[in-house]
Amino acid sequence: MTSVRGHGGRGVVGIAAYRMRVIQAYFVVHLRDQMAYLGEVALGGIILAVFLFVLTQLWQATFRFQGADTLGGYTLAQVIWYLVLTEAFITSRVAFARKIDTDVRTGDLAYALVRPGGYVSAHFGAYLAERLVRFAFALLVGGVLALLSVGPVPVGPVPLLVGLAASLVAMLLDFVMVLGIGLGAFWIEDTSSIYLIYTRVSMILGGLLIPIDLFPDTVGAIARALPFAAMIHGPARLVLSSGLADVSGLFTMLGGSLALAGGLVWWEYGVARRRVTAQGG
Amino acid sequence: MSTGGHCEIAVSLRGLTRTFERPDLGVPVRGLRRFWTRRPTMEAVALHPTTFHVNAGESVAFIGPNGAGKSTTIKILTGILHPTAGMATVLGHVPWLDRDALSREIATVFGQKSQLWYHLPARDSFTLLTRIHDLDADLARRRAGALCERFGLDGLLDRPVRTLSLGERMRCEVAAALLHSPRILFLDEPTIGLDVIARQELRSIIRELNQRDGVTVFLTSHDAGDVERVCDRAIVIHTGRVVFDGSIETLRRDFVRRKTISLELSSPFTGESPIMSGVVSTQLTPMRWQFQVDTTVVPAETVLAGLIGRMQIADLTITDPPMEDVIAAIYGQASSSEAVS
Ligand SMILES: Nc1ncnc2c1ncn2[C@@H]1O[C@H](COP(=O)(O)OP(=O)(O)OP(=O)(O)O)[C@@H](O)[C@H]1O
Ligand SMILES: [Mg+2]
Repeated sequence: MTSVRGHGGRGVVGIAAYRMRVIQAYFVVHLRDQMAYLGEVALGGIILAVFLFVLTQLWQATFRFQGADTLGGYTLAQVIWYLVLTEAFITSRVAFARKIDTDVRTGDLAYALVRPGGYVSAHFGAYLAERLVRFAFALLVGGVLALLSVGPVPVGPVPLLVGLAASLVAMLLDFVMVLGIGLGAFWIEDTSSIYLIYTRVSMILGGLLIPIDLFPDTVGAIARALPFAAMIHGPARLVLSSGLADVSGLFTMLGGSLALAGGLVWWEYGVARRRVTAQGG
Repeated sequence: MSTGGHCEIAVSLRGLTRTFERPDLGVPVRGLRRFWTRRPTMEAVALHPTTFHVNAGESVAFIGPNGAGKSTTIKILTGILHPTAGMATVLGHVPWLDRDALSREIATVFGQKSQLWYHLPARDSFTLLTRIHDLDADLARRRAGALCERFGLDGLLDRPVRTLSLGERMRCEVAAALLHSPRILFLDEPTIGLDVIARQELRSIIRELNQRDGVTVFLTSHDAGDVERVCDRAIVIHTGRVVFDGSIETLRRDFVRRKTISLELSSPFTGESPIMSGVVSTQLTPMRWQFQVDTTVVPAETVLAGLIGRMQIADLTITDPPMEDVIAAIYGQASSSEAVS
């Protein structure tokens, strides 16, 4: 057994490093896999392009109709770039809740759980690969379209980087929530409806089509109290506002939500594990 | 890899038991009450207290009819399921407490459940397994190469696993299971659904692993060929207990108390077929006769002695029943009064 390096008994750091290697392995393999299916990704890009084109027309009409240069502090160009950023976040979503749901229902979860490296690490590596490829591709397609239709907008490098970092944290939060929804299959009949509600609510209250700043006051207040705005609206606004005014609020919201959702899903996962070893496949 | 003393215990079960709670449908809970009353449950026994030991290097067939608890046992021994009572160790680890350490030393192949990543090419599965078992990349690559050669996987590795035929997939499954050089291989109905050739290939691969590499093999199957060709020892469970534990030869010789005497005659025998209780005779041709002897009624030697007086025998063979019949007999036996050893 000389080939086994033996990751056990190397303390917390050793185990964490091992987990990172596992996530990386899943990431790399799925990244390569994504490249093999670039056609599908491209198809998603076309749909995104059509969608953005229609919305651009709509917003141009709105601005003309209002006869204003800015709406809620956004110029037309900024609104379009806002759309590109939020659309990229939304269309890059990975619906892996269904996979987990299936694993639970078919009993495959019991088998997956005994595999070393961890079930969550496996899903996380795959999720990151798929998500980042789609995100980058959507940004590319959307960016080209926005450049052609409204031209560039001024963006500072620091807000851009911080905004992208916030998007990454938001993806982590999304991963945790979708994991929680998938594991819900232990208790509820149909998690796909829950996932549908989750995506719809996050699209509307996250400010996908319309920046939250343009919401009516009460709805805006509700939206701001929930994490969705911080996941979708927040990073986009940060990038476009060229300032770091809300940055601490944004990261507090993201971090707090992540801690809360993480805690809940951790507990849920523990219960699920125990149920699996009690029930079997 | 050779294991030290031949008495090293690889798998050990002591009173290992598993029950499941099932909703008791005989007790109806109606109306609103069902929202707060716990639905009444009954206990269903999947595995009655079971005790046996397997030494390192052995090749064991674990057989019994549907629902005997074979898969349940394998799931417990591989850490997938917790037992309700009793104890088990696999290479010194308690499977359900020490899954991570155990998973580095054992491998499991389920005929009915793919362990490869379904949508990825098998090559990617090898990469992932290398990482999750934390193997040295170079060593693992060389080992994967050797396994691919041995299992004839060239040309299969780059197609998504879901596009492989069952036989091709099973070869990939076994190769993948062996990547981390496990010391024990658990197989739950590995040849199910395979054609004759694929079955034979898989059997000889498993046999070779056991003989050449000293990997302990623990296999369940309903296929007589698997049991005969792969294993040296059989453990039979039925109606909740181990009804046989011994060598395959003993199983075949003793479990079914029946022998077949085949005779080639030097001159045709056309008389009345000899009648004895416990014997069924068949005339194949006037020169060839066959006698099925129930040895619980009359010993084969007595039958033979009787025949020698009446027929002119050129050649004779006495055979044990085929493994199919042995297994059929085991499964058919409700309460085993015939159990041996
Ligand atoms: N998760 C479960 N919940 C309830 N009962 C179960 C569960 N798993 C197995 N059982 C029951 O336990 C018994 C043993 O099942 P097991 O799968 O171990 O049988 P087996 O010996 O593998 O049979 P087969 O030859 O059909 O594969 C069966 O009666 C089965 O119905
Ligand atoms: Mg079974």
